[in-house]
Amino acid sequence: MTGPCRAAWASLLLAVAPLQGAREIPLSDLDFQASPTSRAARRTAEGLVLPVDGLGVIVPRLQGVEVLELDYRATGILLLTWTTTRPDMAPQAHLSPWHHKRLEIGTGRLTLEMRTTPEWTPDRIPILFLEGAGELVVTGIRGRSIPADQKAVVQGWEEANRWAPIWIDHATINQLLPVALEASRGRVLSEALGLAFLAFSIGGALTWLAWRKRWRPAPFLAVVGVVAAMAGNIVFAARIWPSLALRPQPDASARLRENLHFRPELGALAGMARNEIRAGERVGVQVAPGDWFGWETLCFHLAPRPCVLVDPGAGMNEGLSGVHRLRAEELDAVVYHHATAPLLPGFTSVVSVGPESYVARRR
Amino acid sequence: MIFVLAATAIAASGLALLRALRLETGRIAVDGPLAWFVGSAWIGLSSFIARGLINIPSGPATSVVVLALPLVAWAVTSRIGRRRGPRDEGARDATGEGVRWMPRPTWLFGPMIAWTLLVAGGVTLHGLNTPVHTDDAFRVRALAPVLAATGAWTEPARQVIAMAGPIPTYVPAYAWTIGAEIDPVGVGATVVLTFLALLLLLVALASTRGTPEAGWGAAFAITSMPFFAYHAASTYADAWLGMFLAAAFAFLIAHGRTGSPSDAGRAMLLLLGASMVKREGEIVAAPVIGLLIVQAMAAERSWRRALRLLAPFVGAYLLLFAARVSAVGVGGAFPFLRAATERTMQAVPAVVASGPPEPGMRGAGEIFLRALLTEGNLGLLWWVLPVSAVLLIPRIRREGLSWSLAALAILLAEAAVSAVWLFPQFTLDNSTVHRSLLPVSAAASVWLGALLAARTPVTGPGVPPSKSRSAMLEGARPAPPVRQRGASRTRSREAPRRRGG
Repeated sequence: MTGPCRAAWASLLLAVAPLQGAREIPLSDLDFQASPTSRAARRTAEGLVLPVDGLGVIVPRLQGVEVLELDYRATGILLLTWTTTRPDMAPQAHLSPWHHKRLEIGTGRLTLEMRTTPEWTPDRIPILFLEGAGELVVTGIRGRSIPADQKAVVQGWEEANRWAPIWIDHATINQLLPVALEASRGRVLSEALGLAFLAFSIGGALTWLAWRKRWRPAPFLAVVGVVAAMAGNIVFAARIWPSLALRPQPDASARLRENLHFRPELGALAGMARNEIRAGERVGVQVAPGDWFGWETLCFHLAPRPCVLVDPGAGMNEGLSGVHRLRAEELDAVVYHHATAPLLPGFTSVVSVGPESYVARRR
Repeated sequence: MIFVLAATAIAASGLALLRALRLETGRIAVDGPLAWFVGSAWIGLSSFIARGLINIPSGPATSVVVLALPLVAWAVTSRIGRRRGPRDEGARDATGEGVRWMPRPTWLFGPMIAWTLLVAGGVTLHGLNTPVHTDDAFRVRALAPVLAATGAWTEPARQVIAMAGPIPTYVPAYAWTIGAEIDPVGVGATVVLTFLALLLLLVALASTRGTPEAGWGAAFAITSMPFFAYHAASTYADAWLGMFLAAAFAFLIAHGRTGSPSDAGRAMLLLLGASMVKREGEIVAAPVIGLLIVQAMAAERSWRRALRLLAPFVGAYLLLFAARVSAVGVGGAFPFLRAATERTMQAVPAVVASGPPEPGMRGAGEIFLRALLTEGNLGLLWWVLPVSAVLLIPRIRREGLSWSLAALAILLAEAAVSAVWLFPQFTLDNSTVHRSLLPVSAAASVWLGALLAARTPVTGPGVPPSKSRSAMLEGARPAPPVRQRGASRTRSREAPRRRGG
């Protein structure tokens, strides 16, 4: 779908079908904090304008919300994360299951399910994180409060978790979280399907034995096994579908821009660096301390160019698995991504995806 | 485009090797995907030995020579007249007898086929469109081929390559070595291609042996493991290893049924491939290789004949072992052996050694069982398999599935020992226990498909098509009177053993 066409559809959608049972939240009830390099938030006729360069945090001043609905207009490259927290604890954005979505440029409406976020309880406070470089204009926000009836709260929570999408995050490589059939009792789908398989396959075979005096378990094992497996498969397909990248993209840089879901801005930077830095050039990467994902991603996608993490205090810089070792003076290019340290002396930005995210070369 | 050419060339090399060893089946639907597996194994083995043992640098010339060697071998064996045509199954398959492509009944297999194709399509598209990879910053499996393509062989590079294994290193690197632009998606494409080859191999092999239900059943069981489907597009090595093991099991099962030495040879080739997929591949595959040798001895009733048949593969395995040790030393090559020694020397329960679980935390054994049964990552496989094995014991014996069941038990025991005793800390934190079950689960899927679909009364002389039903729905029906040529399933104890070949 083209940009104008998508925008037209979005406008139509905005006019209809707001979240049922939700109440409007005044934009003045949104607290916003951003990294120091970001400009300040401001109110306009359109809505609340939130400039982001690195990280921004939106905290709606309300409690006991099960679903939020956000109307917005976005520019730049922004990743939205939604979760909940408590006043007495530091919020963590990337806990599993990590609820995140890249915001398409233009207007849109998002329904943010809070009940499936990590460790959700009715008394927690919703919190939204914005990562990347761009501007988000919040044109409206609504929230649906939890029901007064405790039983309805539990039912709603279980229903939301039963069909919750699979969010691909840093822990997905280790396991897919089980489907909670009855989350309050800790019952999972595969256990129920397994028990049903045992009951129907063995029960069917025994019934056949009693009725026809013949022991034929194979048909019951096969048919019941396939039916039970298919039930699990359908649930899996419905849950994984939103996370799949199914649009073919043969160009490596474009693929990085579109599908590096964890850090869209980093993907765009990696794609840009692949195009900008020639084969054989030696690259240094400057990122914030502790940002292992950032520098490893950049160096990996720039391979086979020799690439190292720049440590301004060290004489020798090391790359992935210690394969490459380079001094700062040997570098031809630097990829700078929200580092706290200033850009290495002697380099200047040549192409950028944001003020703090760019490729630099020697002057 | 170069990747497609490289993949075709690797498969062609594998086909030539199959022909040189006289292990092709004569059915292109089987030989095609099998050739991809064998070609991958050959590229991995020869490139790693050339680099690690003989110290020949990687590069375009080495790559071309490595790829051409099987073609030369095939030409030579043809020239000197040793190639007398394909062995048993090939000869039978070529006639078209006993081949049935469509499984029955349609109402059961239609949805199973649809699901299998849906997963294959999803894995292909997602695998080819996802940067390597979004849930980690990078993969060792994806870095190693970049290093191989650029000829890096420093100490850190050798460590990375040894950790990744010869197949994940040299197969994706092939296209880059001969001139393609280095794009990490080539690694994902290699895994996806192996996944598709596995599904095709399972279906085609079973169909040409008269039991398409077994092939589609196995393919459905594999694609019904959500975690396996996810990892088929993730470039992690566990699913990749599982694909080689599953392909090997297809031939292990066939060997159990027919006693054919050709099937033993094919299984051995694929197990050799499995031993090259990741660092612990040799250790995972070694007991199964040992069991296959014993099985071949039993089938051949001559240890000399069996040894003559399998000696080249065992030799290749030992060369691989030597190349790995030469590259990174014994400690770097097999860190789990060191871990096992340390565990044994400590002589304390593993969970105690790794610290007692906190109150409320589950132990490693319980987590292992939950990973197997209730977490849903492996679907319902480990519910259906043990119940089926117990309720269908007579069928296991009659169909010659005992050997492959023993091999499966060994693989499961290896996974359990690793998860509960050797590295319980990775089980307690849920980091590797699910992935470590992928290889054995892929093999188990193939075995389960063979068990449930066994004893198909194939349409043939005296059996009207309308009366022919799937074995899955027939249950433990007595053996049909018409035996397929070459099959020895119903051989009585007194009957002479068929040699095969």
